[in-house]
Amino acid sequence: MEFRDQAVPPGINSCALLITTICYLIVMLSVSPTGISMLILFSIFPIITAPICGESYLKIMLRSLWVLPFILFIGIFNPIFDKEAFLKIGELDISRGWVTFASVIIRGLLGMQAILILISNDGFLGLCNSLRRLKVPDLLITQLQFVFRYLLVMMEELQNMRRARDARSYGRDTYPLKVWGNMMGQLFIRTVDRSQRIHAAMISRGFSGTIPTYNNYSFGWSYKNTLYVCSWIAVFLILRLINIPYYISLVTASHIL
Amino acid sequence: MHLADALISTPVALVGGAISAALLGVAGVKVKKKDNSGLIPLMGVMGAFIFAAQMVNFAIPGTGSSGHIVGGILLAAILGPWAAFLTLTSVLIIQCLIFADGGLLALGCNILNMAVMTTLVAYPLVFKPLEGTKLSFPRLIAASVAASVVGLELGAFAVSTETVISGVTALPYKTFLTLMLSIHLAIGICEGVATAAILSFIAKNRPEIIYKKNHTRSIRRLKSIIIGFAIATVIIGGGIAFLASSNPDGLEWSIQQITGSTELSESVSSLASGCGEVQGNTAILPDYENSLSGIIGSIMVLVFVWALTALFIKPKKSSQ
Repeated sequence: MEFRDQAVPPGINSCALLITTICYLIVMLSVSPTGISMLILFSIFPIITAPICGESYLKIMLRSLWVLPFILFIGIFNPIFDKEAFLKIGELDISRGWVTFASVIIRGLLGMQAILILISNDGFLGLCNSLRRLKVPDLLITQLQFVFRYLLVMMEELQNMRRARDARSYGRDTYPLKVWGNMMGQLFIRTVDRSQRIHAAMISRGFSGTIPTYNNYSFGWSYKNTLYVCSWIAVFLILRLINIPYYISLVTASHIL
Repeated sequence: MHLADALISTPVALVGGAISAALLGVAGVKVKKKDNSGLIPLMGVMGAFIFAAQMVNFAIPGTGSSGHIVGGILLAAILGPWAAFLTLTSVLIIQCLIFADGGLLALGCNILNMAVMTTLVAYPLVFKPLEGTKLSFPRLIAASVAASVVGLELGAFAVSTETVISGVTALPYKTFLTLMLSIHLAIGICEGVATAAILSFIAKNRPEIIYKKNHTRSIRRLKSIIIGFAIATVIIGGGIAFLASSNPDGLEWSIQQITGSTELSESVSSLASGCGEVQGNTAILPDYENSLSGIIGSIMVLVFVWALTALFIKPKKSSQ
């Protein structure tokens, strides 16, 4: 889980990065499932943005591997069902299924890298500020901030209950449904009581419907941010609309292979 | 059930996002109308509660395996459908951004598949009528299991349809659907029993939390939800039909050009190629030749860019 130091300004204005990331995903995911070369070129965005946001690309790439099990499950059927020859490497024919399988993996990794960079730039709370600036309803943002703040508190409370149960269960580490139901019910009742205490505390401090924020880094918007967003969109469109892999293949075929 | 960005195409993601955003807007208005500021902290802490509850797996009787809850029906039974929808949406957003579960562009579809199907469809249409107005444990268990199964099956149906329309998988629609529905039937039953276990505990100790709503009002609300969904179905169905029939003469051509295969099952090919066409038309050179030299060249360009950024841009700060 990311807990960014709120005193450090983000590498890129998080509003600008959020808009750029969404545009990136829209353009990148519109690439045809067989366009591996084009998809590979789309990793220029995470490669350049990651160090600006304070993370090395290698670290982001390794963390994005987390998404693999989910996409492998669906993607692995492509080579099984789609055996039409598509690509020739020397004497070896590669079927269309393997090509689309590779493209699913690349799309998954790039999508995940974009999210990881977005969150490492300004942290979750910074991102909430950007969403507020982009006119996302206050109720949803307040809700997101609440869940985020109480996540650790609730997990800690559950860990205490779990430890107490484990200490009395003589090595049995499974939770029969009845025990589990009672534990969760107990936790739920504590949760409701806690929410009533929080509500009383909020009312006594003049809660007016939104949680105030102290991090103002996300709020300044200058011409540099507009330039940043526009230039990336231009790059994405060039990568998508001009057949760069074809020209690269001409160069590599004549000079290297 | 979380869809990754890899498994979805741009048009499908945008349609899913638009529907979810519209429903979120409605939910915001509905929850604010209640004028109950105590609901906001309860929703927030309940979202965190769902995360905590997912950390402890319960044993599934007779199988030796274990599972955890998703929590849609549980939230709806306690908070009401719209507040539960908002809470589950916030859980899904945090799962996407912090726990890397599901894609950012696929978020709209994930909200539709998991939050809408359980809190706005299964809860009012299945749980509410079965639950009754007075506390009855058999009814509570039946309602929880039935609503969880319906919610998860609808979600699984939506996931399969969205993935196949996106044209990402070569898996025939019928096989994919059968696989997803059978897996989620089992998951739905476990989810239902687990939800019933928690709700029974709450009903025993704090019955007022579950049985405080006025039944006649909920029936009126039910009607408006059914009408809303009928309209949504017409819009979604109409949109898909429009995509599928936008160029019927070129259908076979587009299947061969875009997918390179005519072996897809008939029911799917019309949908998938319709979306594929939209995707293909946005590019000047959509079906360029894929060659080994192109792939190697692209990788070399990337390594070069990476080396360049490593030389000139040093990560200045690290996250804590």
